[in-house]
Amino acid sequence: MNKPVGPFEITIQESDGFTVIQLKGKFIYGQTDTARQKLNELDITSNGYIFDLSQLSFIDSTGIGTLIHFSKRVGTKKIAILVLDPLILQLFTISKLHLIFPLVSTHDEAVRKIKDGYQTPFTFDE
Amino acid sequence: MIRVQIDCPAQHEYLELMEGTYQSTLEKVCFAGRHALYVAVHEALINAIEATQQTYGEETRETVSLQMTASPAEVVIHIIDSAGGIPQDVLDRQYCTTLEDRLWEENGRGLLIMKQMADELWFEKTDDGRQLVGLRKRGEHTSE
Repeated sequence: MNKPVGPFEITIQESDGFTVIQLKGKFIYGQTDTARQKLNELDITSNGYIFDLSQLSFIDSTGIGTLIHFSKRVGTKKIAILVLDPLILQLFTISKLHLIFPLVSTHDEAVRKIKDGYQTPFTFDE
Repeated sequence: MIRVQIDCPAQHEYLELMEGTYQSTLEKVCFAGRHALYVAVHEALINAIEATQQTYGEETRETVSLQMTASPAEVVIHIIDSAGGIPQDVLDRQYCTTLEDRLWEENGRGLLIMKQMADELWFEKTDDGRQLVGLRKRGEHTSE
């Protein structure tokens, strides 16, 4: 929470067959509707979905719920989450998200995990 | 020791004001472990706001109160609302389910996160019949 906090933003870009979803600011109660709508409209034929949370300052249980909601659409094998902030990483770990998604620290690692068909203990297909 | 009380309408636009106020106080007190506490308090506040809106309607002016007593050694925070309290079955579930049990649920993690991030979590009624969620966090030996 020490990093500068701007308004919440979600940007979606294609990169080498992968969809990169970047979240910035605070992904919290009162801000998740926009993201949920954009994710619901997203084409789910991509090779994989990389949630880039490197610019995210905070996420709460409603933000986590939105990630879970999306994973039910596309299957967890096609998702990797790039997370650097120690507090967000701690929150994901206590919420056991590491059992569902690979949590990675670089874009390349995210691509590699998805390409290799990396499986977490609770992986499921769409 | 510093005491802070903030009363705001149960609307999410006031979250930032409530959080900014008590968090800047905790920074002044140099309370180590405050970032984990921020997570727990945030979950308590959104639970209180949601419950109040469910009880009184989305445009309600009913308030949610945050009371904090802070020192470098310990912080105690009370989040108080008039929404009738957390249903007993939800509280009971808190003690017999884990976050692993809720992996695929899109909501319902808030109480479990609060329990993990604070040293103590409790629920009680105030003298005037409102619902209080209490959070206690003890200081660590080094500041963050």
